[in-house]
Amino acid sequence: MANYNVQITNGVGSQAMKNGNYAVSVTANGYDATTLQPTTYTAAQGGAGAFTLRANGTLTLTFNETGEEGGAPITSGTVVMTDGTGTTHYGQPVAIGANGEAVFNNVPFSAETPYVLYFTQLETDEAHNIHVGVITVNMNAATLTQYVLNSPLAEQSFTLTDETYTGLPVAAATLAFTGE
Amino acid sequence: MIMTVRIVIGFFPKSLPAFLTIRSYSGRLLFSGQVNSSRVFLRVNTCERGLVITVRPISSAYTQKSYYIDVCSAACRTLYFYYSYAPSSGTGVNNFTLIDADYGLPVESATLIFGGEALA
Repeated sequence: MANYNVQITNGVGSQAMKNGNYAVSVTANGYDATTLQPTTYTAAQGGAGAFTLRANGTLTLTFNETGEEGGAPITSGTVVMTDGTGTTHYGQPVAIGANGEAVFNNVPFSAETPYVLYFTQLETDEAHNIHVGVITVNMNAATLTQYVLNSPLAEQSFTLTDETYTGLPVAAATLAFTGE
Repeated sequence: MIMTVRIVIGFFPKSLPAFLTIRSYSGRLLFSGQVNSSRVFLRVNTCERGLVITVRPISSAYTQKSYYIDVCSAACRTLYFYYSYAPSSGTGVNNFTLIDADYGLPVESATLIFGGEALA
């Protein structure tokens, strides 16, 4: 029975193989090779095999008003893993907690060749501006924290005066603004 | 004489989808269909000399085989028939995907290593 090493690039690969049964193992940057599923494969003309791997890195994205450690955090929102364009979403959105943190478990990492991951913020709280664009993370350690800027909303100033007696300020009133 | 025979078919080394046909000795079709379970139970009413059982595994990696079973001379009403898969020869292109189990993210770079006989 022949042996084959099949290169996988961006999740796909192919190989001409003799029909038959094979045991399967893997080497993969950023992933735990012992988690490969399945570990057997039956080759045939036109055969197709779908395999999965798991990683064990932990990434914490912290959203705050400075984009650096110590900034005042936002209090809610969501963020999702994406491709480099932010178009394709991977997995479910993760909630941003009251401390501004969103934790992604089981992400790939590599100290030698950092695994580049991308994220897009979907929501922020009512007092901050959302991060626009893709968030890029170089996952080079098993545990990593990265800070993301959500600037506070700009303060707006208003005046309310009497229409008939120009310039006479209205003593007390409430302006109600309803969002679209 | 018409007799009812219960046929138990076991697939080895493991259960794989297969297309099963059973014909009488004269060629009359008694059963035809895909089976997926590790054991198949059939009831056959026949007074003919025997049955021809053909198993065609869905995967082209395995060969088709036919067997003859003499039903009318069966001493008992239950026949046990064991089918053993045999790999077919040949070479073909196989396509693979490898994705992150938690996020569905395509694995950037990896090498899948195929070797030896798989475990049963």
